[in-house]
Amino acid sequence: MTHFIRWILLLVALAPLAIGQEHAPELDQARSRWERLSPAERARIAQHFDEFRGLPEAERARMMSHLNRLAQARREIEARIPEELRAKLDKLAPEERRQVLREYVETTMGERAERLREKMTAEELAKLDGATPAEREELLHARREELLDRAPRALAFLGRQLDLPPEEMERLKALPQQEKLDALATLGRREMQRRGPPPGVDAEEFKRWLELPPHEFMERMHGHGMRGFRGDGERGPPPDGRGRPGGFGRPGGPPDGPGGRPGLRPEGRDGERGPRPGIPPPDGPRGPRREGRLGIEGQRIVGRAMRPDPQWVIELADLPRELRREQIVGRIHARVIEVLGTQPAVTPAELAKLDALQGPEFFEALRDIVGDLPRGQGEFGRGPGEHRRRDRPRDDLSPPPRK
Amino acid sequence: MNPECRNFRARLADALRGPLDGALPPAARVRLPALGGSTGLGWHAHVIHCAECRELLSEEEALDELLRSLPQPHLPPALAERVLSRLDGARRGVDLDRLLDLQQLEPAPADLARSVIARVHAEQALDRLLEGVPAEVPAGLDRRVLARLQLARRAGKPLVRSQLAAAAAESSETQVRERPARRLLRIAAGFALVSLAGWGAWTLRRAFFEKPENAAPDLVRDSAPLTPQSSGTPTSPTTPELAATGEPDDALLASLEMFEAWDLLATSGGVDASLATLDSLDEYLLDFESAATLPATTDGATSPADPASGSDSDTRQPKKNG
Repeated sequence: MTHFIRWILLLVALAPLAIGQEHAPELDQARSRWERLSPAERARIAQHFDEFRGLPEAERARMMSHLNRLAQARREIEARIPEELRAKLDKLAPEERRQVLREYVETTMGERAERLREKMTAEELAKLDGATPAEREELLHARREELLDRAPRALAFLGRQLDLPPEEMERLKALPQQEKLDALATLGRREMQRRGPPPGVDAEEFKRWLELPPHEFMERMHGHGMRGFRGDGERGPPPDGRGRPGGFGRPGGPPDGPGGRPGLRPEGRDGERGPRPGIPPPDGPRGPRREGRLGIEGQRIVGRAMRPDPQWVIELADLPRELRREQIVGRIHARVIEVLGTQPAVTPAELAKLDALQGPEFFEALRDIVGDLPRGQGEFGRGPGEHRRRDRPRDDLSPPPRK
Repeated sequence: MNPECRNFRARLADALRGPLDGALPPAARVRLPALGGSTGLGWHAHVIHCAECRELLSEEEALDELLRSLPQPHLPPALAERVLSRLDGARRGVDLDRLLDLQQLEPAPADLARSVIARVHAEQALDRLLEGVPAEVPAGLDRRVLARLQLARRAGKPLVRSQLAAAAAESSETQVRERPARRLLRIAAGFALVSLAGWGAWTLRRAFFEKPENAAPDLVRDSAPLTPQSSGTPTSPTTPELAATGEPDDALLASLEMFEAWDLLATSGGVDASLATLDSLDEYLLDFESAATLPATTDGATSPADPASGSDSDTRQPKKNG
């Protein structure tokens, strides 16, 4: 009898685990979320689902991994929305809210992608541009691994910069991988803190940034155009345009030397990476490549001014989508005129003439002055959530862009 | 022994026993009157010419005198009765003549009287000692003794038959009264335990050995591969079904967020969204990688040592920020 009661107590103790597994509240949440979607959204998602099921099993696994990363990135971006903007979002109708949120996420992702493009080689980007989403996941996974391999060296460098005692460095080296990365983010923030507020950020705002978690702080600094390590970051690309060699799976070394891969362009700096996929080629539909008069630093400043601020999307959320886009283009216009006013190469008369133009004419005239922007420095005439359009030869999985 | 002696000794025995056997109070019986005086045996004609009977009478009178001189013993009244009754039993059937004959055959020891007197003196000393003992009983002793006795009885001392019978009757009545309720309680408890065990086993089995009906399927393995589709024109039965009923597949629901994220790939041309999956720390390390290949900048700012060179860059000591 005693044994019987013991068994029953054991079963009763384990039952909650079973119940927890049996009931899937996530599924119920997803169902109610599904019910809130519009018919068009449902149809699009169902189409993605069918496309997914049509993939071979190996590709499905990679695709799932990539989509999960995307969903994670999206969650993080949405979580960073400031409170005041979130309150504005909450006042919108559900469908409108989803639309604005989507534009916000796309604009933020586009901004981050532009930054990352600046820091990647032409070879890397060419591979990415020509890959399917599943292949991109594989390429980016390998790239992440490469970057993580550099974490100990970055940690050692920061330790020297911050005069950490040897025993503390030994402790950091012995940390597990994830804790090591957290320590890297923390030390990175301390190192940036030592440098003081970046240009354009006053002491008070910088103080608020420093109160953010290390990863958030870094995101804010990157978004402001700061580089984590001093090399060429805040002051533009190095004069000699030297970059690191390689790209995906590169062994390092000179391009045609030992360990290099013949035929691949190892240079990674802007202006030397050759034609960029998605950017009008020298003799493409938009005519020959234009050099402009501003120089690399001026191009960088204008390029940054041409990026739509993701927050604008929510600030203008009350407007219909097309009107919102026009407003954002108008803000970009004003900001470009403002930064061009600081450039000695642009005369006031030219500036006034440029300011009077609108739409495509404005951007064509701007292109004459600035020249074709280096990779990652923005694209003329892009609105919020509008990413570079490409032929997308291998993106067959994706449906045509929405209207 | 001649008949006169026998007659005389029978009268002496009667006188020693007392005039009315059993009628006298014990105190009076133990205090025998002077044999010669009250009974008149001292004046019996036989003792005048029978020296033996005269001597016997004298001894008895001396003993009587001695006994009279002793203090009255404090014996329980029942003791005297018990002793006398046992003596009666012993005497019953005993012929006094035979007894007397035995006395003749076996004379009493010569020092009997002395030893008796010594014993009596010892008894007197004991009496004095006992009289010196305080006769006060501690308060509550009776209650304590009774309580102990009750405990002892409960512990195992058998009860008397009447008590046993009464207790048995009471117990059987109680059992008859409690049996239905207890039985029902036991049945209910057993049923509850069995139900609980069954429920526990069922839930565990469902959780660990069966796939729950509404659990998210493994999308990678469970998805039935379809014929590769031409771009943009879905041929799967899912879409029409969805359009008609609005009821999505559970597999889709389980990964709804994932398929919503797919939209980002669709609208961004793919690459930008994919690039955005690199997080801020990845970007930081990209900066490190870029800076690692650069020489110290013109304003004296430091850059990391070349991580791709394969040399031990940790040993380099770069210049600090000015």
